[in-house]
Amino acid sequence: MMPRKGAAGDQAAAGDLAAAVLRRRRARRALIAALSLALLTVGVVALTVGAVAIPPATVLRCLFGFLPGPGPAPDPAQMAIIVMLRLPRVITAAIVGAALAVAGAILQALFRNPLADPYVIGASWGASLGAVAVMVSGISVSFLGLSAVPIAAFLGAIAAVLVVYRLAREDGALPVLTMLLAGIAVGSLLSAAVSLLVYFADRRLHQVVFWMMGGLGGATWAHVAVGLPYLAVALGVAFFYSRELNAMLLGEETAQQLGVEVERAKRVMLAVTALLTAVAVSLGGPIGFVGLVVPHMVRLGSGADHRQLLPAAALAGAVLLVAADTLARTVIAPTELPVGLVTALGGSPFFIYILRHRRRMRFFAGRGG
Amino acid sequence: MAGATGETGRTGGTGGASRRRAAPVVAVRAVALRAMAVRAAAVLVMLAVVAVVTLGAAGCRAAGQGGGTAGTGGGGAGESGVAADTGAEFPLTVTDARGKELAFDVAPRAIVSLAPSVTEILFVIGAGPQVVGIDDWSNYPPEAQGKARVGSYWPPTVEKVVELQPDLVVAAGEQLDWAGMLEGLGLKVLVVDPQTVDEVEAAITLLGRVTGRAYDTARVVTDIRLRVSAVTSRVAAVPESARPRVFYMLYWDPLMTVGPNSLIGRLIEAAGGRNIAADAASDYPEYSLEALIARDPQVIVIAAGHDPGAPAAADLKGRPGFALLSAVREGRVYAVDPDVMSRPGPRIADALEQLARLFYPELFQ
Repeated sequence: MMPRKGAAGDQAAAGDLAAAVLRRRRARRALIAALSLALLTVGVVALTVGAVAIPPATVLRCLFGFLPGPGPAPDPAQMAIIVMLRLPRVITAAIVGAALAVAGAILQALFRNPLADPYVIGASWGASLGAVAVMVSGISVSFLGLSAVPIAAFLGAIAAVLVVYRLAREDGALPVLTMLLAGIAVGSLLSAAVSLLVYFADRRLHQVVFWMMGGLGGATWAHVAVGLPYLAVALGVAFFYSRELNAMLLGEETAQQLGVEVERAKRVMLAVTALLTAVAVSLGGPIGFVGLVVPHMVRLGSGADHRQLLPAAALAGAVLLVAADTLARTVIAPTELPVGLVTALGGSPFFIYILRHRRRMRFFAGRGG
Repeated sequence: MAGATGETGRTGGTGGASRRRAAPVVAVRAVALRAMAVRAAAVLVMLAVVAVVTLGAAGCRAAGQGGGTAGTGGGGAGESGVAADTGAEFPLTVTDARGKELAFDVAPRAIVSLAPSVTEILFVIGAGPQVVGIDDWSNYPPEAQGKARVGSYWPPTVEKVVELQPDLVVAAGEQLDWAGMLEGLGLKVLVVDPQTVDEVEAAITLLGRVTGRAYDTARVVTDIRLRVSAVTSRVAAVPESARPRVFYMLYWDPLMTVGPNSLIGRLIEAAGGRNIAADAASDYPEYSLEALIARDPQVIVIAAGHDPGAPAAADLKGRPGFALLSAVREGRVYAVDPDVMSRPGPRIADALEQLARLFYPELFQ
């Protein structure tokens, strides 16, 4: 727009600003919409491919069996594969991916550090200790359709973060540097304990090693039923604190002056990330890369405003992990690769590509819109 | 950042000043709450979509369960013709290694084996034609190689197992998680978990009953029992001090051996050897070279198999410390096939005889 002079000029300038804000808002909505569409697409593709070849038409008939459709009815094996194996697995992958990505984004804001990922607060090693302890001891109770392993992993993660919290707390305040150091210290201790247990794993060694590589092979509807409510609650609280996270990025003192109750926000956010990480690691084992890199990838498109970043990160994390899990179980089918391997191998080059080409990509051109 | 504008100009303060400072933030919060509500609605819509798909799928599942994924006695593609009646005694109920009771009206015709030892058992008792799927590691016997593969020992590819629609899945003791998952999908799973020679014989007998091959199985088990007692009785006469000190090299880097309660450890003792790691705390401990040299085994058995990285018996002399060992000096270093040694299946009699020949060449020709 051409700059105009005088009062009309001021109004025009305000108009320019409004237009720019609207443009940016539209771009961000477009990002969320695009990511949602991507998740849907990836999810459908994930259902269609697998170790057993099932035609897409049959897949659709399986999912929406109450709708009439062309072609033969799916046989019981296909129905079981789609509905009892692939569908819960895809949904679990989405849950885990979303949880890790949002947890990573929150911690990166909390610590004001781009290298923060969901595992710096000790949750992943706590989960590993719980899971490995149950596996090595041979306890095999089940609760609500879940075996003892994910339950122990969840409790272990929460317990570890509680320990980190108690260690880092000083006179009611929670200095982030101390929290980071406490997380590292507790993580090291727990990882040593895990190694000790692994040494005595003997007959459970297969199970232990496989779990620690991360994987969604055992995902069932029980996992979805238990994970989804936790995810919903945690995401809800996280989204509600988006403004506080934005303020925290400016520094704790500035945030305090902006009216944010910094200590309470830190406590709540720590609890939320603990919950998200606990859900993710108990359902899928320790899967790396997603929590660290997805927030950065999304930030390139959505900016650092957490009101857009968090939902976008949740969607992007879900897309990434569903895609990675699909690849993991199809590239050398019927053998399965550990999904953490695929996320790292596939995601890193993609991220490097985005970093190198971000200036040329109009979607990312400048934060100002 | 839209919203909290104009605040950075104010200075800090206490009490009332902070409340006044907070007021614009509260007003902004009201606008923000409206935006939150919109976003919350969007999230609810997404969750509703997931719920719809889930319900549709559940409806599909309900329809599917009616047909069942386990074709009891009917499904699967077993080859035609089991050999003549072998004393089947159906209907019967058995208890598997988990203590779970399984009922069989007829012999299963579409069996999936998830472990190599199980595959060996099924084929040696003549139930091969009833097997439709085996795991990737089942490399024996040769007749089994044409069967469909259902993934690794850990993890098995559950989709493949389900695709075959077996009326029985046989799993090993380590695979309890997968057994549970498969049962959750409506399949019948039998778990065998033999840890000793006697338990191997019992497992073979159990699978024989379940597959309706009781006569052939009795022959197999009797044969194993005879061969085992042929070895054990002959070495029983050997005094403790004359028994060779044995080191079983399960792996060379790190140096790993077998503990007393492992199957191989028990085979070593049964064959008249003295496992120098008999005081180990775990079943597959890493062993220190110092302890190895201190205990000076007279026989070293290397689980080399088909691994090209395994040290050849002749190479051991060159490895640091090994040249001092009696076994190396006397040339009593032998390579064995780990598949034969470690599988709790019908070849344990072969394993036992092989070990006995290595320990007592003069007693066993």
